[in-house]
Amino acid sequence: MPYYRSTVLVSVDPIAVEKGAYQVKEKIIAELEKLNLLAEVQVIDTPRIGDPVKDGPDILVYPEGTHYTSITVDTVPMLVAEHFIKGRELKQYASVMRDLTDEELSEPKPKEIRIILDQIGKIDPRNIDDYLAVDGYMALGKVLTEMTPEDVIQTLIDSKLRGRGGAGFPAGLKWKFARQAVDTPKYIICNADEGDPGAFMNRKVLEGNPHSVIEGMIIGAYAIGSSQGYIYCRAEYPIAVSTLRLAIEQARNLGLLGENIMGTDFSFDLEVRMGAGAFVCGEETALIASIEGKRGEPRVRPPFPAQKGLWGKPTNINNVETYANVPQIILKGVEWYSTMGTEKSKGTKTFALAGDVAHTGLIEVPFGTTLREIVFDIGGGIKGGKGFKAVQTGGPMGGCLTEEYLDLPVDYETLGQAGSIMGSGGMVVMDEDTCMVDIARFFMEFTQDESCGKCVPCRIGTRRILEILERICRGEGVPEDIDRLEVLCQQTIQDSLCGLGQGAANPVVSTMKHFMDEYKAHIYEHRCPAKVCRSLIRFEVDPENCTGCTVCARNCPVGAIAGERKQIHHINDDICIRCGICHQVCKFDAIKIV
Amino acid sequence: MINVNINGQIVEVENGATILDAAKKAGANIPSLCHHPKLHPYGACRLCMVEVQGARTLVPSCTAPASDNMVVLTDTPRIKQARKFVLSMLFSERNHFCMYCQATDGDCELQNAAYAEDMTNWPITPPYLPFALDASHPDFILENNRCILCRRCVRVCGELVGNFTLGFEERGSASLLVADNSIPLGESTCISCGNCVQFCPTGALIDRRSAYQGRQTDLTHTESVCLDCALGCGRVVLTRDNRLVRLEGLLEAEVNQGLLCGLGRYAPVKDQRERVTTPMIRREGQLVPANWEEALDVVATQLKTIGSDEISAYISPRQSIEALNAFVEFFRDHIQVRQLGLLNKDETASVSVRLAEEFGVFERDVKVLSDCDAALVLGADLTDKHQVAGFMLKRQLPDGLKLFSDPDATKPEMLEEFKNRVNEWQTPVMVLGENFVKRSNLATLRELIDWADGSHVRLVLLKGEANAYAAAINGILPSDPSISTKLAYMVVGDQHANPNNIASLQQSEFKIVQAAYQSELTDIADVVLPAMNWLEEEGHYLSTDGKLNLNHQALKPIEHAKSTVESLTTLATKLGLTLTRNWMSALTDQPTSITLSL
Repeated sequence: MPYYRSTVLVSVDPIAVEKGAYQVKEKIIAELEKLNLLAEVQVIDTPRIGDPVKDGPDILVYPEGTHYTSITVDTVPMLVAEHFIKGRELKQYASVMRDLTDEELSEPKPKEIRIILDQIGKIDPRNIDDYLAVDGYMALGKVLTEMTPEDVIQTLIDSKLRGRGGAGFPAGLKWKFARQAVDTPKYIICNADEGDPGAFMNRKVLEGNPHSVIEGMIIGAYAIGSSQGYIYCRAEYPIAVSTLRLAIEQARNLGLLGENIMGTDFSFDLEVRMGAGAFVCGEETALIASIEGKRGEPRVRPPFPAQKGLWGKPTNINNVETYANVPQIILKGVEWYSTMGTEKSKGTKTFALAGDVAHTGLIEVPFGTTLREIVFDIGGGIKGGKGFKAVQTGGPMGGCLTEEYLDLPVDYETLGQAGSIMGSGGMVVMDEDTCMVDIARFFMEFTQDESCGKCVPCRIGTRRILEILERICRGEGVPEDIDRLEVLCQQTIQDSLCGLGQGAANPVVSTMKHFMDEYKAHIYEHRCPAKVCRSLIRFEVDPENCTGCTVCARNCPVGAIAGERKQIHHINDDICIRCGICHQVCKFDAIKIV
Repeated sequence: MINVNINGQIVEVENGATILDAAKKAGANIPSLCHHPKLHPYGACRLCMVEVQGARTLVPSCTAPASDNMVVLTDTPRIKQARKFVLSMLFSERNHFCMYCQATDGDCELQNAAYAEDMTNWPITPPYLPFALDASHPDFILENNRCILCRRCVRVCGELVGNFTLGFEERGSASLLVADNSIPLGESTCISCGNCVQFCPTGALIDRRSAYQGRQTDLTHTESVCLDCALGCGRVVLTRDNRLVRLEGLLEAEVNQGLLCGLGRYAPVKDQRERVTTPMIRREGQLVPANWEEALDVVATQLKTIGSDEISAYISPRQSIEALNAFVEFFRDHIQVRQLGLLNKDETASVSVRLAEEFGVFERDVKVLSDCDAALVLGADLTDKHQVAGFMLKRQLPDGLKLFSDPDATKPEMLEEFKNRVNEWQTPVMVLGENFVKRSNLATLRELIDWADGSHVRLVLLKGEANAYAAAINGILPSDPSISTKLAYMVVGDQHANPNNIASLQQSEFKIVQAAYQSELTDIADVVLPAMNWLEEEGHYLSTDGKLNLNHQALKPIEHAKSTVESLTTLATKLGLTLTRNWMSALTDQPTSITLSL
């Protein structure tokens, strides 16, 4: 592997690509070549760096860690000359690397342990050599030369690795069932249909370290006896798809995929299949139906995919993160792995921390870390010094947990007992200004829209629940709605066919449990305590604070605000559409929500 | 076998049976909507949920396999609450205004299930949003307001018929039943078999002709057999006040498993022909009504005066075995006419009987078509006739069935390819039809049978019209158009007149036509004898795979119409003859290409 003195990372997220990221990259390479520096400076792609780009892609230069923003093709020659020949920063484009508060992935915080996210941003995902340099495919080599499939499965069982897709089924046991199935051929599938709103752990892994997943899948294929695998990735992740395809091709060229892998008798190949945007296709049987070219709808289990999966054949299906764990476990051993986590949940888990928390983005912590540590130590607490209200774990089917649960160690069991789920790792923190009825309505809107429509409770139940929540948020709720919601939620959970319907009502149930006073305020007093629900609030000018600067009147989209310069303004409530723009633009805190 | 405890009662069921099967055996009534015994378990409606001891949640009994010593409860308060929930959800989804629906009061499985749970009102107000109604199809109407999205229609269209016309667009609560890519049914790839209508549990798919003509319980059900080809599909005739209302597939029938094709379901109900209501004799160029006595006298006189060498007798392959038997005995054994002919040109049945004399049994049951991995259809268009056999093949296409189709038998290279590749497949079948037999000589057929005999290919011959096989066994072969005689006696029955029959009849000076319907044949006849149609005349039929089926009488005959056996017997008496031939032994005397099950 060649040694470089410098590495240039060019951000190639969709917006940056639109702004000419690849042209900039080519230009940098061309300039370096002109200066005969290509042997010393490496130029590689990286996912998004920092804020969304404006005029051109961001680039990072290591080892200095200089962050340039808005680089265009025209500025490249100057930048290369300044930075690499003269060895000084090009000041006008260099941006101060802020404490990376809103990046997707910042430097690890003290309580984090990174296994899955470790190499992301450090290695070039589009170059297999980088992965090989960090012991990539060593685990595969060990498996193929030293271990029987049974050994691999036993190692996995001993490691207590649990499926990271949400349900937490022991991965080793799942592999064992697929291994024991007699029918052939067998298939192995990677579920990369990450659909939870706000969650992007899997995307980051696929974009930043695709080979860790591919290696895990090859090992899985060897263990269960499969020769064909599929990665089902959602089409909304074009970079992940192209990175994966390139990675597969590179692995194939090195004999790590295809016939006689590493010169052994074992053959296996991989294909990327794209989803068409249905959330329910993250459910394993719906995903299988989608790969088969059918309507993406779940079917009743049993039979489980391990018996009858893809095209009716035994199939093992795991999440991206589960596969990414496998090479590490093989390489570093069960003992090492067992040092992390709780009794029943071993290892680490990635979370997408979002919402009203100071530091959002991806984190990776060992199981057993408390919610308080995650929200306050790693997340930096609530944004703007406001009070904590709730944290919702596990995506749209998760429950909202309050302050009293903050000291719970996060693992599959405790979250379940507390009325939420682990899910795939979404974590939304809500501050005191959040209306919990509105939150329930928001998640219900999502799940009812994503219901496939096959089974009655989910298709119609979620719709009816949403209608009631919408009614309550409009201030038109009636006292009986509470009972109705309880019955609807309980029955939808109990009767639905797949996890989507069975979990759909969780946000409603948990908010009703912990925030019944808010529901009652909406229904009985027609009041939204958090001042969020538009039908229940009014905007008023506070005469004490108003300076008559006219900013609110100029920004009001419907002309509802009247007032002369330096005079106290007035909002006409009949015209006001409660968009809240005046509240946002007022610099004097003179717009009150009542 | 495993033992399952249903509500305290132990029943023994086979391994692999579902909880619903076990409950049915125990006599426990579990309501279900999306489930249909002929379709794969689906588990979508969630109405059939039961409590299983040890299970965390309620279990859908239609999909859950029963296991040994399982303890199941089917009627607890928890279950009843879940059922009511599912039903109230369904009633709240679309506009189920029962009183305006033709399925109300007994025919609607949704309404029945609600009544069974003592529901008398909608717990949640329906949306009053109108859903599209599609009335573009000539045979049925799709009324989305009454659809409960159970997808039985979609599944029967795909799983059983293999046509994949019906499907769903959108998802969740926006899901809508559509044809093809959401185009009107009448313009879609629908083949009008109507099985979706029969499988619909509510009034969402409405049969145009029989809607509002009575509930299932108001109608008389007669289990019968379809006569529109020789497959012998089981068919239920639904009648009311001695009038045909509707035809349905017989679920218990072995060959069609409840399916019918458009021909078998709709052709008879669409029949608009005028009946022959009285015997008629041509006097001074005009057909004038007469009574049976007079008409048969004229016929008897003619038969006596004209030499047997100048007489031809024809019979329709839609006639029962009893009729064919009487016809053979009367015309061949007694009168010894010059020609005995079938009103049909399909030679498959007669060729199979001929080859059976050399090869014995060389054919397989039609049901092998339901289980094959490669099929060659040679000389038959299974999208036209024998459609149910076509369904058996079409529905296996998604599972990878390799289908070779040469309906006109004009592509010998296809047969060659099939022969060369036959060892690639485990369960290949070959279907031979009319056009192949017509274009091949006996030597070609012999060669093919020899080849099939030496390989694992299973051979099926489609034998044309309803009773063509029985006719061939009785020695009645397609008529020879070159023979012309002075007198022609034609037993038409309810068959449609075709140009060949008319030409044959025109050659003769004296024409006797025994027919149920007026046609060009009765128009030119000298004596017309009113016959019964298939609904009125009971009799046996021999299917293409040698099964004996009984066509039951479903309607009382119209006045003056006589069965073929009765009219021929009366005529024989007039000539001093008696008909005694046993039709059963006549069938068994002849070697056949498939073992007959009589």
